[in-house]
Amino acid sequence: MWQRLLAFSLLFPCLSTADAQEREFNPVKVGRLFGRFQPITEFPIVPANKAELEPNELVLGVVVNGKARAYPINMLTGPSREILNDQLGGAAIAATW
Amino acid sequence: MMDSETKSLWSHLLGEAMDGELKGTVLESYPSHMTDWANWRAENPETTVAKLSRTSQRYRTEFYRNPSQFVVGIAGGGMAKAWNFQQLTKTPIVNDQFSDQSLVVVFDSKSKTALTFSRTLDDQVLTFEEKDKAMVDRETRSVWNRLSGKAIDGPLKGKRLAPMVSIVSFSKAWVTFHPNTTGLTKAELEESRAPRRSRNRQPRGDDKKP
Repeated sequence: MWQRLLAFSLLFPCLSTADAQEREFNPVKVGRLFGRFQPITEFPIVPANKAELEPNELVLGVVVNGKARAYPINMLTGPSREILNDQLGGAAIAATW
Repeated sequence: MMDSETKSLWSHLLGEAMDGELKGTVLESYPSHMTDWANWRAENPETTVAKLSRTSQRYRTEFYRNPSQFVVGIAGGGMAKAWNFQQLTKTPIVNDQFSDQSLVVVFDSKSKTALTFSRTLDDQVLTFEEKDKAMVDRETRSVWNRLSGKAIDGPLKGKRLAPMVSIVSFSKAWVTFHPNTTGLTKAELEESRAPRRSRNRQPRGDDKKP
Protein backbone atom coordinates (compact mmCIF):
# COMPACT_ATOMS: atom_id res chain seq x y z
CA MET A 1 0.00 0.00 0.00
CA TRP A 2 2.82 2.40 0.83
CA GLN A 3 4.06 2.11 -2.73
CA ARG A 4 0.74 3.34 -3.98
CA LEU A 5 -0.16 5.99 -1.46
CA LEU A 6 2.46 8.13 0.12
CA ALA A 7 1.70 11.31 1.96
CA PHE A 8 4.75 13.45 2.06
CA SER A 9 6.10 16.20 4.17
CA LEU A 10 9.21 17.92 3.02
CA LEU A 11 12.88 17.37 3.36
CA PHE A 12 15.26 17.90 0.51
CA PRO A 13 17.65 14.99 0.33
CA CYS A 14 20.94 15.91 -1.30
CA LEU A 15 23.80 13.73 -2.41
CA SER A 16 27.36 14.83 -2.05
CA THR A 17 29.71 14.45 -5.00
CA ALA A 18 32.77 14.33 -2.76
CA ASP A 19 33.19 10.72 -3.77
CA ALA A 20 31.62 10.07 -7.13
CA GLN A 21 31.59 6.32 -6.52
CA GLU A 22 30.00 6.40 -3.08
CA ARG A 23 26.76 8.20 -2.45
CA GLU A 24 26.61 10.28 0.66
CA PHE A 25 23.17 11.26 1.89
CA ASN A 26 23.00 14.73 3.39
CA PRO A 27 19.38 15.81 3.67
CA VAL A 28 18.73 19.50 4.16
CA LYS A 29 15.73 20.26 6.29
CA VAL A 30 13.51 23.10 5.11
CA GLY A 31 10.64 24.84 6.83
CA ARG A 32 12.35 24.66 10.18
CA LEU A 33 10.41 27.67 11.40
CA PHE A 34 7.08 26.16 10.52
CA GLY A 35 7.53 22.59 11.63
CA ARG A 36 6.61 19.76 9.32
CA PHE A 37 4.48 20.61 6.31
CA GLN A 38 1.13 18.95 6.07
CA PRO A 39 0.88 16.57 3.13
CA ILE A 40 -1.31 17.89 0.30
CA THR A 41 -3.94 15.30 -0.52
CA GLU A 42 -6.89 17.41 -1.63
CA PHE A 43 -6.93 20.25 -4.13
CA PRO A 44 -9.19 21.40 -6.96
CA ILE A 45 -9.07 19.55 -10.27
CA VAL A 46 -10.56 21.46 -13.22
CA PRO A 47 -11.05 20.85 -16.95
CA ALA A 48 -8.73 22.56 -19.42
CA ASN A 49 -11.15 25.40 -20.15
CA LYS A 50 -11.15 26.38 -16.46
CA ALA A 51 -7.38 26.23 -15.99
CA GLU A 52 -6.72 29.97 -16.54
CA LEU A 53 -3.16 29.31 -17.65
CA GLU A 54 -1.16 31.28 -20.17
CA PRO A 55 0.13 29.35 -23.21
CA ASN A 56 3.80 29.63 -22.24
CA GLU A 57 3.44 28.50 -18.63
CA LEU A 58 5.27 25.26 -17.85
CA VAL A 59 3.33 22.23 -16.73
CA LEU A 60 4.29 18.76 -15.63
CA GLY A 61 2.07 16.45 -17.63
CA VAL A 62 1.26 12.80 -17.04
CA VAL A 63 -1.10 10.26 -18.58
CA VAL A 64 -2.13 7.26 -16.47
CA ASN A 65 -4.43 4.64 -17.95
CA GLY A 66 -5.62 7.09 -20.59
CA LYS A 67 -6.31 9.94 -18.17
CA ALA A 68 -4.24 13.10 -18.63
CA ARG A 69 -3.48 15.66 -15.95
CA ALA A 70 -1.33 18.79 -15.90
CA TYR A 71 0.38 20.19 -12.83
CA PRO A 72 1.30 23.86 -13.42
CA ILE A 73 4.82 24.47 -12.15
CA ASN A 74 3.92 28.00 -11.07
CA MET A 75 1.51 26.38 -8.60
CA LEU A 76 3.98 23.77 -7.33
CA THR A 77 6.75 26.10 -6.29
CA GLY A 78 7.69 26.66 -2.67
CA PRO A 79 8.63 24.19 0.07
CA SER A 80 5.06 23.46 1.12
CA ARG A 81 3.84 22.93 -2.44
CA GLU A 82 6.30 20.67 -4.17
CA ILE A 83 4.57 17.35 -3.65
CA LEU A 84 0.94 16.68 -4.54
CA ASN A 85 -0.56 13.36 -3.49
CA ASP A 86 -3.10 12.61 -6.18
CA GLN A 87 -5.23 9.93 -7.80
CA LEU A 88 -5.27 9.51 -11.58
CA GLY A 89 -6.52 6.73 -13.80
CA GLY A 90 -7.06 4.46 -10.81
CA ALA A 91 -3.52 4.94 -9.49
CA ALA A 92 -2.31 6.77 -6.40
CA ILE A 93 0.55 9.01 -7.51
CA ALA A 94 2.77 11.70 -6.05
CA ALA A 95 3.47 14.54 -8.46
CA THR A 96 6.67 16.29 -7.46
CA TRP A 97 9.44 18.37 -8.91
CA MET B 1 10.59 14.36 1.04
CA MET B 2 9.24 12.16 3.80
CA ASP B 3 6.32 9.77 3.88
CA SER B 4 3.88 10.13 6.75
CA GLU B 5 3.50 6.39 7.21
CA THR B 6 7.10 5.36 7.99
CA LYS B 7 8.91 8.72 8.17
CA SER B 8 11.40 7.44 5.63
CA LEU B 9 13.30 10.12 3.69
CA TRP B 10 13.05 10.05 -0.07
CA SER B 11 14.93 11.65 -2.94
CA HIS B 12 12.71 13.52 -5.38
CA LEU B 13 15.04 12.93 -8.29
CA LEU B 14 15.74 9.26 -7.63
CA GLY B 15 12.33 8.27 -6.27
CA GLU B 16 14.30 6.23 -3.78
CA ALA B 17 14.11 6.02 0.00
CA MET B 18 17.51 7.17 1.20
CA ASP B 19 17.01 6.70 4.93
CA GLY B 20 14.53 5.09 7.30
CA GLU B 21 12.50 1.93 7.30
CA LEU B 22 12.05 1.90 3.51
CA LYS B 23 15.69 2.71 2.68
CA GLY B 24 16.64 1.31 -0.69
CA THR B 25 13.07 1.07 -1.93
CA VAL B 26 12.39 2.70 -5.30
CA LEU B 27 8.96 4.03 -6.25
CA GLU B 28 7.43 3.10 -9.57
CA SER B 29 7.76 6.03 -11.99
CA TYR B 30 5.25 7.04 -14.62
CA PRO B 31 6.29 8.60 -17.93
CA SER B 32 5.76 12.35 -17.65
CA HIS B 33 7.26 15.42 -19.19
CA MET B 34 7.50 19.14 -18.79
CA THR B 35 6.15 21.29 -21.57
CA ASP B 36 4.18 24.47 -21.97
CA TRP B 37 0.45 24.65 -21.44
CA ALA B 38 -0.27 25.30 -25.12
CA ASN B 39 1.44 22.07 -26.19
CA TRP B 40 0.02 19.95 -23.40
CA ARG B 41 -3.53 21.09 -24.07
CA ALA B 42 -3.14 20.61 -27.83
CA GLU B 43 -1.89 17.04 -27.37
CA ASN B 44 -4.31 16.23 -24.53
CA PRO B 45 -7.56 18.14 -25.12
CA GLU B 46 -9.38 16.14 -22.43
CA THR B 47 -6.75 16.87 -19.81
CA THR B 48 -7.65 17.94 -16.31
CA VAL B 49 -5.55 20.41 -14.36
CA ALA B 50 -4.53 20.73 -10.74
CA LYS B 51 -5.57 24.24 -9.83
CA LEU B 52 -3.99 25.84 -6.79
CA SER B 53 -3.08 29.43 -6.12
CA ARG B 54 0.05 30.58 -7.92
CA THR B 55 3.21 30.64 -5.83
CA SER B 56 5.39 31.80 -8.73
CA GLN B 57 5.16 33.42 -12.15
CA ARG B 58 8.62 32.64 -13.50
CA TYR B 59 8.21 29.09 -14.77
CA ARG B 60 7.53 29.73 -18.42
CA THR B 61 9.37 28.62 -21.57
CA GLU B 62 11.79 31.52 -21.03
CA PHE B 63 13.05 29.62 -18.00
CA TYR B 64 15.22 27.58 -20.38
CA ARG B 65 17.04 30.56 -21.85
CA ASN B 66 20.38 28.96 -20.93
CA PRO B 67 19.84 25.52 -22.46
CA SER B 68 23.29 24.23 -21.55
CA GLN B 69 22.21 24.20 -17.89
CA PHE B 70 19.57 21.53 -18.49
CA VAL B 71 19.48 17.86 -19.39
CA VAL B 72 16.92 15.17 -19.97
CA GLY B 73 18.01 11.93 -18.39
CA ILE B 74 17.08 8.28 -18.00
CA ALA B 75 18.16 6.08 -15.12
CA GLY B 76 17.70 2.47 -14.14
CA GLY B 77 19.56 -0.67 -13.22
CA GLY B 78 22.35 1.35 -11.62
CA MET B 79 22.99 3.21 -14.86
CA ALA B 80 22.10 6.68 -16.09
CA LYS B 81 22.35 8.59 -19.34
CA ALA B 82 21.61 12.23 -20.09
CA TRP B 83 21.34 14.52 -23.09
CA ASN B 84 22.14 18.21 -22.77
CA PHE B 85 19.57 20.73 -24.00
CA GLN B 86 22.28 22.70 -25.84
CA GLN B 87 23.09 19.65 -27.95
CA LEU B 88 19.42 18.85 -28.44
CA THR B 89 18.86 22.38 -29.73
CA LYS B 90 21.34 21.59 -32.51
CA THR B 91 20.27 17.95 -33.00
CA PRO B 92 16.63 17.64 -31.95
CA ILE B 93 16.24 13.95 -32.88
CA VAL B 94 18.74 11.51 -31.35
CA ASN B 95 18.55 7.77 -31.99
CA ASP B 96 20.27 6.15 -29.05
CA GLN B 97 20.52 3.15 -26.72
CA PHE B 98 20.13 2.87 -22.96
CA SER B 99 20.96 -0.50 -21.49
CA ASP B 100 19.32 -2.89 -23.97
CA GLN B 101 16.61 -0.44 -25.02
CA SER B 102 16.55 1.46 -28.30
CA LEU B 103 15.18 4.93 -27.74
CA VAL B 104 14.80 8.27 -29.44
CA VAL B 105 15.27 11.59 -27.68
CA VAL B 106 13.28 14.38 -29.29
CA PHE B 107 13.38 18.09 -28.60
CA ASP B 108 10.98 20.84 -29.54
CA SER B 109 13.04 24.02 -29.59
CA LYS B 110 10.05 26.36 -29.50
CA SER B 111 8.61 25.04 -26.26
CA LYS B 112 11.92 23.56 -24.99
CA THR B 113 10.21 20.23 -24.53
CA ALA B 114 12.39 17.12 -24.29
CA LEU B 115 10.83 13.67 -24.60
CA THR B 116 12.03 10.09 -24.82
CA PHE B 117 10.28 7.27 -26.65
CA SER B 118 11.07 3.64 -27.27
CA ARG B 119 12.14 3.02 -30.89
CA THR B 120 10.84 -0.53 -30.77
CA LEU B 121 7.38 -0.85 -32.27
CA ASP B 122 5.78 -4.25 -32.91
CA ASP B 123 9.21 -5.96 -32.76
CA GLN B 124 10.66 -3.53 -35.31
CA VAL B 125 13.34 -1.04 -34.32
CA LEU B 126 12.79 2.28 -36.06
CA THR B 127 15.36 4.95 -36.86
CA PHE B 128 14.20 8.54 -36.88
CA GLU B 129 15.43 11.58 -38.75
CA GLU B 130 14.33 15.12 -39.44
CA LYS B 131 12.99 15.83 -42.90
CA ASP B 132 11.41 19.15 -43.85
CA LYS B 133 10.94 19.94 -40.14
CA ALA B 134 9.03 16.68 -39.63
CA MET B 135 10.12 13.52 -37.82
CA VAL B 136 10.27 10.58 -40.21
CA ASP B 137 11.36 6.98 -39.71
CA ARG B 138 13.81 5.61 -42.26
CA GLU B 139 12.26 2.15 -42.33
CA THR B 140 8.72 3.04 -43.46
CA ARG B 141 8.97 6.82 -44.16
CA SER B 142 6.04 7.38 -41.84
CA VAL B 143 5.70 10.90 -40.41
CA TRP B 144 5.54 11.27 -36.63
CA ASN B 145 4.38 13.96 -34.23
CA ARG B 146 7.40 14.35 -31.99
CA LEU B 147 5.42 15.67 -29.02
CA SER B 148 2.90 12.84 -28.90
CA GLY B 149 4.99 10.04 -30.42
CA LYS B 150 2.09 9.27 -32.76
CA ALA B 151 2.43 8.48 -36.48
CA ILE B 152 0.33 11.01 -38.39
CA ASP B 153 1.03 9.90 -41.97
CA GLY B 154 2.43 6.92 -43.87
CA PRO B 155 2.21 3.14 -43.37
CA LEU B 156 2.36 3.40 -39.56
CA LYS B 157 -0.29 6.14 -39.30
CA GLY B 158 -2.17 5.78 -36.02
CA LYS B 159 0.63 3.87 -34.27
CA ARG B 160 2.12 5.37 -31.15
CA LEU B 161 5.61 5.05 -29.69
CA ALA B 162 5.82 4.06 -26.02
CA PRO B 163 6.99 6.98 -23.86
CA MET B 164 9.90 6.24 -21.54
CA VAL B 165 10.44 7.49 -18.02
CA SER B 166 12.82 10.42 -18.21
CA ILE B 167 13.46 13.51 -16.13
CA VAL B 168 14.33 17.07 -17.06
CA SER B 169 16.80 18.45 -14.57
CA PHE B 170 19.51 20.99 -14.09
CA SER B 171 22.63 19.25 -15.39
CA LYS B 172 24.32 19.96 -12.06
CA ALA B 173 21.58 18.14 -10.15
CA TRP B 174 21.61 15.23 -12.58
CA VAL B 175 25.36 14.72 -12.22
CA THR B 176 25.11 15.03 -8.43
CA PHE B 177 22.51 12.30 -8.20
CA HIS B 178 23.97 10.22 -11.03
CA PRO B 179 27.74 10.73 -10.78
CA ASN B 180 28.42 7.89 -13.22
CA THR B 181 26.07 9.19 -15.89
CA THR B 182 26.98 8.71 -19.51
CA GLY B 183 25.90 10.79 -22.48
CA LEU B 184 27.50 14.07 -21.44
CA THR B 185 30.78 15.39 -22.81
CA LYS B 186 33.78 15.87 -20.56
CA ALA B 187 33.25 19.63 -20.73
CA GLU B 188 29.57 19.27 -19.80
CA LEU B 189 30.48 17.06 -16.84
CA GLU B 190 33.13 19.49 -15.63
CA GLU B 191 30.71 22.40 -15.96
CA SER B 192 28.09 20.43 -14.02
CA ARG B 193 30.51 19.63 -11.21
CA ALA B 194 31.93 23.14 -10.94
CA PRO B 195 30.64 25.49 -8.23
CA ARG B 196 27.81 27.55 -9.57
CA ARG B 197 29.00 30.90 -10.84
CA SER B 198 26.98 34.00 -10.31
CA ARG B 199 26.54 34.59 -14.04
CA ASN B 200 24.80 31.25 -14.36
CA ARG B 201 22.32 31.89 -11.63
CA GLN B 202 18.67 32.18 -12.37
CA PRO B 203 17.38 35.70 -11.79
CA ARG B 204 15.67 35.20 -8.46
CA GLY B 205 14.08 32.90 -6.00
CA ASP B 206 14.16 29.12 -5.96
CA ASP B 207 17.14 28.10 -8.11
CA LYS B 208 17.23 24.37 -7.48
CA LYS B 209 14.56 23.62 -10.04
CA PRO B 210 13.60 21.73 -12.02
